[in-house]
Amino acid sequence: MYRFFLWTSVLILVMLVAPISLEACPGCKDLDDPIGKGFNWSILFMIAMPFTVFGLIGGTIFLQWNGYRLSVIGSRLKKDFLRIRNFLNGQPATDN
Amino acid sequence: MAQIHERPPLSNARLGILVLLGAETMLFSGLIGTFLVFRVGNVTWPPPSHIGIELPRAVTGINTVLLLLSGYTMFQARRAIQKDSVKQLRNWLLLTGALGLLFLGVQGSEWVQLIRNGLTLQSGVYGGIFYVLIGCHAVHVLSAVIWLFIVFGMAMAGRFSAERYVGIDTCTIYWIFVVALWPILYVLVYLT
Repeated sequence: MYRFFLWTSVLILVMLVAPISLEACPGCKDLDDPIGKGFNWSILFMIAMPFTVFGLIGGTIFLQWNGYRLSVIGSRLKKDFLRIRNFLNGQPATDN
Repeated sequence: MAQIHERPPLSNARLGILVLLGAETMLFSGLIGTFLVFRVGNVTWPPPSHIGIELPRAVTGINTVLLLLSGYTMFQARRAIQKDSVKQLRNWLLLTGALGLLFLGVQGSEWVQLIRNGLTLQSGVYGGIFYVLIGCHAVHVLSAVIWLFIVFGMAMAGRFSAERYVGIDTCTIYWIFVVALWPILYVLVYLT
């Protein structure tokens, strides 16, 4: 693990110290070209989408789960409160 | 020990519709990504070969308002069933379906006009991306309308109540997705 972090740090350092422009895609190698800009915007947009989708689905599940937990805790507290009130009033315990 | 009747935090139907919408979002992302390549990649838009063809911005703008209004009416339908008012639910669903059909009708008439003006699927990149992107959304609106009328039929049969309305819920989520997507497409395709 130590070696992994060491080599990753060295790699990041080299990339920061000696940056070179990479031409990974023949379509967008020339950034002044309109079609290159088109590809760039399209790629940026599509890269963002999976994160947005998973974030929204995950966020919805999290919120639903949180609300569910709170509702369960609330219903249990309500039942306990009713039991204590009935006990103090000298009434028999009920499940309602 | 008191028995606590706990509902699941997220029903299978709601989870299913979320996954479906995730897939739909990726489909439209691909189409919008393709549009962006052509739109940003062309200095003049529409391309010189389509200079004379104008998209009906004003009519589509009014159509956009109609679709947004249908989102509101669908939301009201959901609220109605939460209050156990089946009659109001039917009315709101009917109004939503009518607005959806009106949207499709206006868009269909626009397409007829555009085809007469020479903008077809085969008339280059501009026509191709326009019909694929807008047509894909129109197919989704159509499927949402069909789904809505199935839900309406179920509401007529008294299948929904304030305790049981997952069918309304999933239909509302899908409808809101289709409605929310349209302004993005309208701004991208018609106004930029």
